[in-house]
Amino acid sequence: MPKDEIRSTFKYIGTRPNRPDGLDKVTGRARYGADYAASNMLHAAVVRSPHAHARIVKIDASKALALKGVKAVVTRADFPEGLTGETWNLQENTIAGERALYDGHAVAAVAATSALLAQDAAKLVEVTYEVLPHVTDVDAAMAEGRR
Amino acid sequence: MRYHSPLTFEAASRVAAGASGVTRFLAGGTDVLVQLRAGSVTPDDLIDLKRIPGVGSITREGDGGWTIGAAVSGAALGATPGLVSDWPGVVEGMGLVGSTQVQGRATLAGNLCNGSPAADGVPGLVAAGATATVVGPEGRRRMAIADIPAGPGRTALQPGEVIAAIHLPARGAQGGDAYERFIPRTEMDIAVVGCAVNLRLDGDTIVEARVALGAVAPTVLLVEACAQAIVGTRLDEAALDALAGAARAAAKPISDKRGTAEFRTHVAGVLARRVAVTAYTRAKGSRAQGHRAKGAAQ
Amino acid sequence: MSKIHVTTTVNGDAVDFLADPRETLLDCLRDHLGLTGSKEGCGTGDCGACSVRLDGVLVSSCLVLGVEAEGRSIETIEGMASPDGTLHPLQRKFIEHAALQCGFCTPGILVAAKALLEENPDPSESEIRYWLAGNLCRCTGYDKIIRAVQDAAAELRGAA
Repeated sequence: MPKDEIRSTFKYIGTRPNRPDGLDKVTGRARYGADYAASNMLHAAVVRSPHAHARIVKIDASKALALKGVKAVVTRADFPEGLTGETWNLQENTIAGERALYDGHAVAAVAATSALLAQDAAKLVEVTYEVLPHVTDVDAAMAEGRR
Repeated sequence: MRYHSPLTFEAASRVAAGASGVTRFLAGGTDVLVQLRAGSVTPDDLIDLKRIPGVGSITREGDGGWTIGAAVSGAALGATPGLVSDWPGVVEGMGLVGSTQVQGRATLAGNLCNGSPAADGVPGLVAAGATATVVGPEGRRRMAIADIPAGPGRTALQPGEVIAAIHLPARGAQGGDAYERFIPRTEMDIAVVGCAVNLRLDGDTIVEARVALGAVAPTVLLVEACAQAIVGTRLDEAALDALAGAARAAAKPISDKRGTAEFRTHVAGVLARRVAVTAYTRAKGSRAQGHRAKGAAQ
Repeated sequence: MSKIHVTTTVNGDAVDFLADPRETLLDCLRDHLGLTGSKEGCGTGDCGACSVRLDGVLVSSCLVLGVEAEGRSIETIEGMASPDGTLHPLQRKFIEHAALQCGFCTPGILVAAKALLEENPDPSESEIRYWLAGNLCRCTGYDKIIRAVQDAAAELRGAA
């Protein structure tokens, strides 16, 4: 194509079109996931391990479940067994199984009629841990006898 | 959590003294609400001080001193020209705490009571020789600000005691103060080292000085040897060297993710020199330039 | 947990709600008043997505309790455009300069920038950057945000 036939004006390229979602986003009207509320919606709170490495001996959710408005407490026992490979890995990262693998690892989750109630109930979930030694670098993690 | 909004400090103190669980006083809330959110501190009783008359006021006293209510925000300090002119170091220290949004709420009294060794609002107060009115079950007392920090997260206040106001002495003639901190970025960070210098001149000669170091010990340090290094001098190079040496000698920092002990010790000397020069310049009569823009210290 | 009745003013309208004393002003705006324009990015006063004006002062609404709003006056992003829908110049310039992508930080930045321009109609780039240092954006890289604020400031000065 000869150079003088190259188009120099386009419908959009080279122009400054306003983004179609701009108006909603500058007015606060744009809705994100957390902005939606539905009737009878439940709120979740997660119980997390305070230990870097610990065996989970027992999870007692009876006090949490006794609160009016607490609808469910889930633990690893509610998840499938026998997964392998990436699905197992994903599950292991989602919620702790036999052992909590880091400080903050999810151990249980509570669903309740309000966010505050779920948080209160999460504090009532009693987890018995047997604290295990932890490592803080790769070399220690790869040392003989570690798994 | 029970929320209280008493109308006097005495009533606030009574609520705290009579409580059996965890209590927190709420002024600006920029530390308390973060702890609440993190679940690290969930008070049984939260005592909001902001309904107490005068708690948000800045008052120039008859003797030229200043009284700053416990709930006065950093933004309000910076918006008070007379205070900025008298005590630019105090104002610029508090002005370094957090973002514009945090400045709209955070208070000197809260910065002090939070007990962080790296609190930017505190060295300036200590260097200024500020005091606090403390209200407790036994009544009111005055405490030197320097005596209040007791260690990371701890103060010397007794159960039920609350700071009602902070008092700065009259500036007087030929005085100047300044505060700077070192942080590895330009804004929104916590001091690796902070230093405040407050001094007074007779002609060109320093006749009084107070030097405070932050973030190099479990509490803010008022370093007498630093003061001695510059009193009687015109802040010449020898005096600045002696000042830096005294600051390094006084620094007893820990190594953590913000910096090693060795680095902090070095920076304590660098900052002491730099801040002393600013305070000296202000005392010489350039006070009209006021406190520097936020972040200008870097 | 007993709730507290809070009467306050939001964007000029008298409103009231029942707040648990642990709920933040941000929780109350979003969950009790349905004003979801203010966002929760961090909940700890670091990101600025929840910025509102409390009696005219720029604050992080996640660091204010809902019960503290009693008798106060609050301005949020929802009150920034005129009632007839005319955008504030800042809002218009943010669209024109494409100073937003995902938009999550945008309401907080607009509220903060409006507070800046009311206090300082002609801020330098440095002053804008320091004022907005507590508003984090992970998409646009700030440059377009700064240009948009400067452009809006120029327009507002021209109109004054």
